[in-house]
Amino acid sequence: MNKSPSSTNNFRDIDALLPLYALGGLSAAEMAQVEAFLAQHPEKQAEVEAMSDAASLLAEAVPDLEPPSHVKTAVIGHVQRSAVKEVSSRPKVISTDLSSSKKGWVSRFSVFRPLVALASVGAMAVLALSVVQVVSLQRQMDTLQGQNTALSQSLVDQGWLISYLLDDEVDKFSIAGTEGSPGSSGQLLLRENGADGILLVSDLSPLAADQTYQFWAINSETAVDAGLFTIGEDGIGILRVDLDEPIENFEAIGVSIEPAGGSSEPTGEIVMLSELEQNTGR
Amino acid sequence: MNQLRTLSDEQLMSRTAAGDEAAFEQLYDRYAAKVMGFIYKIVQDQGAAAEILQELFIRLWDRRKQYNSSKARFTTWMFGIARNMAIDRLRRMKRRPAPVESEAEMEQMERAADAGQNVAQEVSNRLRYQQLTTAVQALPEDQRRVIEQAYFGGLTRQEIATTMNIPLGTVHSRARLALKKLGQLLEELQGEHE
Repeated sequence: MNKSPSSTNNFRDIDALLPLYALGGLSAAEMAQVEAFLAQHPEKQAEVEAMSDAASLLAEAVPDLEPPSHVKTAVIGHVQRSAVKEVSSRPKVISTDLSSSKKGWVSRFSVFRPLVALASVGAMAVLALSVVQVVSLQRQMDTLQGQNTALSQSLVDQGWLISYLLDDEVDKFSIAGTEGSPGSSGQLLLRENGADGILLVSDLSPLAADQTYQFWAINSETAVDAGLFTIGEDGIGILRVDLDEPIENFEAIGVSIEPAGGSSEPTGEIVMLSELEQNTGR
Repeated sequence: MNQLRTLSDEQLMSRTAAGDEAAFEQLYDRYAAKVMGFIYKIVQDQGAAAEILQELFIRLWDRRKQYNSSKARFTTWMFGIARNMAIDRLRRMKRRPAPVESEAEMEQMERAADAGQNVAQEVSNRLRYQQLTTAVQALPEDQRRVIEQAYFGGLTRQEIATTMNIPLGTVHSRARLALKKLGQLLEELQGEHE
C-alpha cells in the first residue's frame, strides 16, 4: 500500500513528497532522495523555497516566550570573543581623513587659511589621538569582557570534565578512527548508570557548516542517535551523552558525518567506530 | 540601535555578515522571544528551549557568511535551523509535546508582553501574530493536523498516516493544500509590508 519512492523513483512520486520535505516530515533516506531530485530538477527549487517560506509561518504563529537573560549574555559573549579573534588577526588601520568634508567651507575663508590650516592640523591631531585612545580602550574592554566570559565558560566546562575524570566509578570506553579518519581517537566516559556521561574525541577534522558529527550507540538491529557535536580548531570535540538505555544494551559506538541537524540513522561516512566488548572498561 | 530597528532582517544579516555585532544583537532582540516560543512549542521544556536558543544564535553568528538572502528569507533559514535542533532534542527526549491550548498560548503571550519589549514592536508583533494564528486556525482541521504533526511533532509522513489512519496520498495532498493556503497568506502579508 505505502509505496516507497525508491521502488518508483520517478518525477511524480518525488514531486508528491515536496510539501512534506518543506515541513520536515520525511525520513532521512527520503530527504536524501528529494535532495538528489532537486539537484537534477533545479526548476523545482523555487517551488520548494516557497513551500519552506509558507511552512515557516507556522513557527511565527506560535506565541512569544521571553528567554532568560543569561542566554543573551552568553550569545553576546560568544560574538565578542569571536570578534576579538578577528580583530586581532586583522591589520589595524584607523582612518584620519576628517578634513575632506570641510574643504569647501575652509576655502571661503582664504584670508585665514594658514591659521585655519594650523588649527585644522592641531584639531585633527587631537581628534586622531582621541579616536585612537577611544578605539584602544574599547578594544581593551571588549577583550577583557570576552576573556572574562571565555574564562567563566571554560571553568564551568573544565569543572564538569574534571568531575568525570576524577570519578573512580566512571566507565571508560575507547573509540578509534576508521579509515576515513585514521588518526582520530576518543573516550566515552559513563557514570555508574551506564547512560549519562561524556564523549571526548581528538584529531577529527572540522566540518563544513552544513555538516555535523553524530555519535551513535549501536546494536545488531539499530543505531541510536546519541547526540551531535562539532570540532574546534584544535581538533577536539566534547559531547554530553544521555543515553535512553544503558550502554550494556549496545554492541558498538560510532561517529558519522551527517547533514546539519543530524539524521535519524547514519547516512554519511563513519569516521570512528569501536566494538564495546573490546574496550577497557573501568 | 534605533536606526537598526528600521532595517529588514535581510539587511541586518548583510551587516552581520560583515561583522556588525549591533546588527546581530538587533536580530536577537527581534526574534529571541519568538524563536524561544517556537522551540518551547516543540520540546515543551523551558530549560531545554533556552539551551537550544543559545546554541542557535551562536550557530547563526558562526554561519553568518553562509546566509544567502536570494535563496531564503531570513526567518525561513533561522526557523529551519531552530526546528532541526529542537526536533533533534525532542527525539532524544523521546517525548511528544502535548498540543498547546490557546488559553495557555495567550498566557505565554502575556508573559512576553510583560517582559518590557518595545511598545511599537510589541503591537506590530501582536498584529502579525493574530493574523497568522487566525490564518492557521482557519485551515481545515485535517490539513492543519497533518502539517502541525510534521512541523512541530517531527513525525514522518508514514507516522502521520499511521497516527491519523489515512493513506499516504492523503497526507501528501493535505500538506500541499495547507502550504498553498499559507503561501497565499505570506504573499498578502508581504504585500501589506511593501
